[in-house]
Amino acid sequence: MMQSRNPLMLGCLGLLLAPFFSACAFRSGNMEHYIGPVLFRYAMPPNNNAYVSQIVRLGPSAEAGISWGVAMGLSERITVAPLIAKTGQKNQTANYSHWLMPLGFSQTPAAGEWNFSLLYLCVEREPGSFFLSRTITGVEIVFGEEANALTVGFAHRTLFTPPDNAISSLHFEDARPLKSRAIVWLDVPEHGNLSDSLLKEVTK
Amino acid sequence: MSIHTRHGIYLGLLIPHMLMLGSCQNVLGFSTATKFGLDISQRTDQTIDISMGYDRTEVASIPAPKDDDATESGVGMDKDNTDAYSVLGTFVVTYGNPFLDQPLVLDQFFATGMAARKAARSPELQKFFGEAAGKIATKNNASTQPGGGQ
Repeated sequence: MMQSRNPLMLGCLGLLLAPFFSACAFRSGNMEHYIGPVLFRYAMPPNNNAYVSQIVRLGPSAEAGISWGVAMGLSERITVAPLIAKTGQKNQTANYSHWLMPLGFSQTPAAGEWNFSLLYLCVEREPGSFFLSRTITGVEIVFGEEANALTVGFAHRTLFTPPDNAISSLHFEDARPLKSRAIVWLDVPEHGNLSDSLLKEVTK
Repeated sequence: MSIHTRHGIYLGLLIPHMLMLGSCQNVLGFSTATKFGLDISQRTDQTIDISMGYDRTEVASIPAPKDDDATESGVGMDKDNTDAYSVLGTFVVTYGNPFLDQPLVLDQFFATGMAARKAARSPELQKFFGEAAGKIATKNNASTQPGGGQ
């Protein structure tokens, strides 16, 4: 017959294993911190036409900062930040994005492919994301800027918030998020003489 | 009443209040949602949505000026420098069953505020939006006529 287990030992074991089976996220204005295991990939110019991040967490997870919540299951968060284009010129200025795993073997994860962070992932970027996609399969309760929801089952939400006094273009495919295309034109000419690149993007 | 029932009632009252307090901001936003199961959430237009089973929504939330601004539409004001909130855009959503490799595809173009007013003066965009509006009107007419459909 199996002997009763020591609750103290089980508790210690649980505490030791907890970081490996739960991920906590803290997001502020331009910094994101992920403690615990997360699967992620990202894309940025010049290879891509937008700044895209995709972060997947499995199991129990929590988030704080701009949104607060807890989730149990498979959760995915995709953000898209645009290129900033000047309507009269061809060159494009851009946001910035830095991904770092200070406690990992390879501190700088590769762009364009899946990476795994076991302990800690830090993302620094300009707060210019204008498209957000959140998916949960499981149970989630979240409150804040990104969503206010209680979900039991499956939910996929997207939110597009174009900036004021600008022209924005977004192409997003759920199956190929890294191929997203996002451009913002800020200085629109007075008499509507729009550049060829803008018109091509709009009428595509 | 048992203590468990009371907790259930408190929780039921608390969640909608928390949802309403969450993000009461007056911003331009376009959102989509696909849900399966139980979901209580606040939409972009700040209404509470409760669904059980399958549900699909697309919401465009455009901030409107107060009534006192709207009634005097620019009288006594420099129209070029004042902007209630102009939006010019196209919003194309294609979706299918997410479990059967029918992904969500979004194509969105939006000009907002003063940029929308300036863009509206572009002959190319006027032509583009005219054609797009014509296609939508033709489709709507075909679907509303007897025997018509898509």
